[in-house]
Amino acid sequence: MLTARTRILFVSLLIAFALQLPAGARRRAVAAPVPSDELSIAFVDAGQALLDAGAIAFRPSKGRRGMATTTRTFGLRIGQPSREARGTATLRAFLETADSRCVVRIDGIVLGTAPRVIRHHAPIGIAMRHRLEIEVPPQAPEGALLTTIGWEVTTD
Amino acid sequence: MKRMAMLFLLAFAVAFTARAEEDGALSLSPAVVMLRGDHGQSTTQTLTLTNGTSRAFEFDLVASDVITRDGKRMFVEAGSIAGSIAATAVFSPAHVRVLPGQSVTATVTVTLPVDSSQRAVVALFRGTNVVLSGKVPMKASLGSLLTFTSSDDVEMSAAPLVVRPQSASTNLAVSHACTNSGHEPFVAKGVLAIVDGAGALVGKSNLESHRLLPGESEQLGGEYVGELEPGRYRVVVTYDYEGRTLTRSAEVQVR
Repeated sequence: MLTARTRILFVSLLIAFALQLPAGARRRAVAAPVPSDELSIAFVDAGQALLDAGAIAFRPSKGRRGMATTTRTFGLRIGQPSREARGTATLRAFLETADSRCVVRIDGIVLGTAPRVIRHHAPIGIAMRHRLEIEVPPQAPEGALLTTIGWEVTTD
Repeated sequence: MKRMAMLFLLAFAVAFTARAEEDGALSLSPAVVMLRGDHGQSTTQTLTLTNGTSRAFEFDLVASDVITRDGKRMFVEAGSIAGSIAATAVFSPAHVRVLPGQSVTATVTVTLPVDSSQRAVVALFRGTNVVLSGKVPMKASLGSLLTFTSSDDVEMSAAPLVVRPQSASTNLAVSHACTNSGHEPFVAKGVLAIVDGAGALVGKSNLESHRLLPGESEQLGGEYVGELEPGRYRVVVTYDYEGRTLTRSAEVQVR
């Protein structure tokens, strides 16, 4: 006969495991995703700031055409956090104004003033890593990027 | 006994606070509006933007047409194509400011132009404040997709199924190219069923829903979540879209 204490402990563990355990490596149980009825954007590994892509460390390395390249990876999540994708969205990025001193790439895609698709069918609810590259001539004066990276998210 | 009850509650608290822990985010609702009507009709929709961050944000409201070219979805500026829906968009207000932790609503009125073959438009909240990220200034924008249906000319076509048998580490999976070959948008909801050699249903899985605009093609599919015993099976995928169905099937040998 189980004591009350044992029963509570058993139920607690059962609930904790059910909520916390990741699916097994083999034949993951995939639930039919419930599409999200709202859309949101957040940079997820940026500390307390919403759009902080992290401090860009200037580590010049010889890139194409003798230019120095600064690289930074960051996480971006569309929608509220979820274990399964809750639909998909299109992620686009653009430069507000052209900065002739440098080339800006997201995931290898060169940005221009017209929005370009960075990812079709980006999963909603799951953070994705993106790579930001800024390529500048070695002789360019140090200073702030003279343009703004715009992000656009639209549900598919 | 009290300590055990506390542990019990703690298990709940840990489980739920881990999921509720949020970084600040900007949210737009609804994300999608599916409309049905006739050419020449107008509709007014209310959109709500919520600022879950610690700073104020401002947005310009603009519209872009969503078109399909070579099977892929593209966004084009309002008025740059014939029958532009975005060109008819009127926002009220056309600029919003939303304080931390608050929400703001705006309405958008759009008209489906007469004889327009366009069926989708994005109502975009385009961020106007720059947030410095190190030395990189950034802005964020969110868009709600509005789709229009004006007839019953709905048609979906699909290539033969490609089946990836289950392995020691992966589920059985299917995929194939599907195209909206009609003139209206739809959402395809798929079901994957496994039938054994005797014709008995072994199991089924729901597939992720996909929206396809007219002319748009996508690779659709998914996984069967169960584990199959060795044998020969028939994999059947059925899509339900706008009250119609499309079925494709293929044989697979599980070893």
